[in-house]
Amino acid sequence: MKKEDLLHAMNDIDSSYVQDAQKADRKTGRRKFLPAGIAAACLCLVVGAGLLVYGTGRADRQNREPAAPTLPLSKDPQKNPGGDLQADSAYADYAIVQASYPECAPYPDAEKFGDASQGADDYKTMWANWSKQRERIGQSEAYRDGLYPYYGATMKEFLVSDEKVNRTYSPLNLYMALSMLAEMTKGNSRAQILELLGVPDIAAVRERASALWIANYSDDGMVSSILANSLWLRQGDEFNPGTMQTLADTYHASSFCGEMGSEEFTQAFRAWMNAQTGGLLEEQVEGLSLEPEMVLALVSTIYYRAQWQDIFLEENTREDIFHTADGDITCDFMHQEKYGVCYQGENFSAIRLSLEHSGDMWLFLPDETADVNDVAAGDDLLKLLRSGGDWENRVSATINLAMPKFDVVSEINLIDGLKAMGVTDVFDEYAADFGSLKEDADGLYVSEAKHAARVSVDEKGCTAAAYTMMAINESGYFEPPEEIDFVLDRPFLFALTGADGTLLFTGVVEEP
Amino acid sequence: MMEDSQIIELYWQRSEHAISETEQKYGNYCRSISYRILKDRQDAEECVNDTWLRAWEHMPPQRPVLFSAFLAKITRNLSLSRYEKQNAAKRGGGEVTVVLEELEECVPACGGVEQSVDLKHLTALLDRFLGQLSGENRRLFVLRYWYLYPVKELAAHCGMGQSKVKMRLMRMRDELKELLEREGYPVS
Repeated sequence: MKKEDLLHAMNDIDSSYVQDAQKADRKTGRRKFLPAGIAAACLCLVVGAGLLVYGTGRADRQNREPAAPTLPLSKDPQKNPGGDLQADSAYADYAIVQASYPECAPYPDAEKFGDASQGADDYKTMWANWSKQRERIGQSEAYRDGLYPYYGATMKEFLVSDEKVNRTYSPLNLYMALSMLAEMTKGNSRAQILELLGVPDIAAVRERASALWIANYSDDGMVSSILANSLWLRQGDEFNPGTMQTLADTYHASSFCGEMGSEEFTQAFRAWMNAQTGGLLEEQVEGLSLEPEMVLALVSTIYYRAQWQDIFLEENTREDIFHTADGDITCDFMHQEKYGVCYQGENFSAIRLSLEHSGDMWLFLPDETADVNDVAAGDDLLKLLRSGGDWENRVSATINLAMPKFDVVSEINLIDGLKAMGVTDVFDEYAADFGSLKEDADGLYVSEAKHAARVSVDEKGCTAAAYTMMAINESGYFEPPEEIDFVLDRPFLFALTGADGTLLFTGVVEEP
Repeated sequence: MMEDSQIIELYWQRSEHAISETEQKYGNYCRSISYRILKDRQDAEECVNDTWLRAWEHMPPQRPVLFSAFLAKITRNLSLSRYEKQNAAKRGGGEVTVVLEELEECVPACGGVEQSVDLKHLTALLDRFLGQLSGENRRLFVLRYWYLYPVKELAAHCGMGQSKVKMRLMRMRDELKELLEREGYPVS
């Protein structure tokens, strides 16, 4: 017997031991990332299906504490994301339809199965159940390519700006809200929305929205990507029951009915919004209210939280210089050295950081001769995302990554942007056709369309939330409208993708 | 990113996307395993590419339950084979040599005559041994002798001193040696 025999015999040990060790290694962040340069503004896109969220709400109850949260969740149990209606919540009394959500098999935590040999069998069973459930991610595959024109149009509209401020939005979240708006409309109002969404008819909207919802909804205690929709209805109005049923069944939309303009109904509305976004957008939600002239408010939310596959070591984080348009500032940079792939686009370099059991965060650093607007408006960024990394101009190398910790928030008034993309009629009280919402729909139009998003990254992972709120009013009321240093030390872009490749969040970091 | 079961299905359908999806999801993981053994990026890259081909040959008929471990094992095997070929004429260097020296402590020869070993039986014994360890110790042992992590990195990983890690590993090697003795393996 030779010592080499033992080394070779090790190769075929139980696979669960190999996987368990690998996961434990990731959890403690053993892999170091070494310092690299620092870039100023870059663009990050989180692509994939929906947002990833660490388990809170339902997942916590059925599984374990969320791993490595980045932003603190609210201590108020009503504000933990998740669609279940809590009986003591501020909004429960107003509920008339409660959406149902898919059951999520809990994530098999390897560390719970460590001390007995029979534990390995339980672990395998739990792993098999969890893996089987995640097959639903593939449901959106058939629709994936069709989303890129929509991504391209909305990115140009909401990311390209002469203002040197941080900006971010959730393409998936906006897509859901527009899909629901399409359900409520008819005629040209609907046709304009369908064209932006890139679908031929309302049946296709339903198929795609349903697939995206299912593929991106995760609440398994490890990675959560929690989507929620709701309708806030004016008491005394009658709505088309078929449309309401479709919104509940296909879009998992809960419905609440109350007195528009009352402080209590607005408080319930805000409580629901904060609950579904983990309290991350409280400041923005505080600015929303249900006004007496509103017939209906449509809301879509997403909350995402995931851990890096290779977390950053906190001891490697140190201050460095970020070059903003207005001059240099100092901020905390996380560092990591990893062997990976660097992609070269027309006017940018890009890498991607995987999120545990989720999608990726792609980081796009514009070339010195370009800026974030050039990259956001160009074609190569989305081509690279669409390729999934199967990209000719790529090089495998040791990447010395230096990435600023950032927490960016954006509020967008959607109306001008949507009009620029061809969705005009719903905002015009004379042209809007809400015939699918009510029988007496004359004069109904969208008076407000607001979006807010927040994306934060630190050594452990990424946390994000977004909402889209659209108010439908009756006319007569008006509202104001080799070795590669990848150093993100100048404005950059990001893209956060979900497990199925759906573009969850994208943004520009002008000042971390 | 595609689920493991979906990627495996692509192999079964003989779709060329199977390899690109595997590369996308597990490329860096397998590269790091290979690089730790070979300490050469070009060699590691070739081993990873060979891993995808080997996976293509095995699926079908195989349908691995733990896909990442299935790939990792192929990579490790290929990398060790390449390491041995490259080091047939010369000795030493790298983590493999250090690990082998440690393993030699618990796998002594008998009377100077090398006996052929049934690797499957030896693997079964190793599984038994690993199953008896605490979760923490088992992970330490696997990270050291399967993934070939240096002691220094393990110490940082566990939040303990290097000497403590070495002590734990030594105790586990002693326990393994005792098990091998009980099972009739030759001892020095």
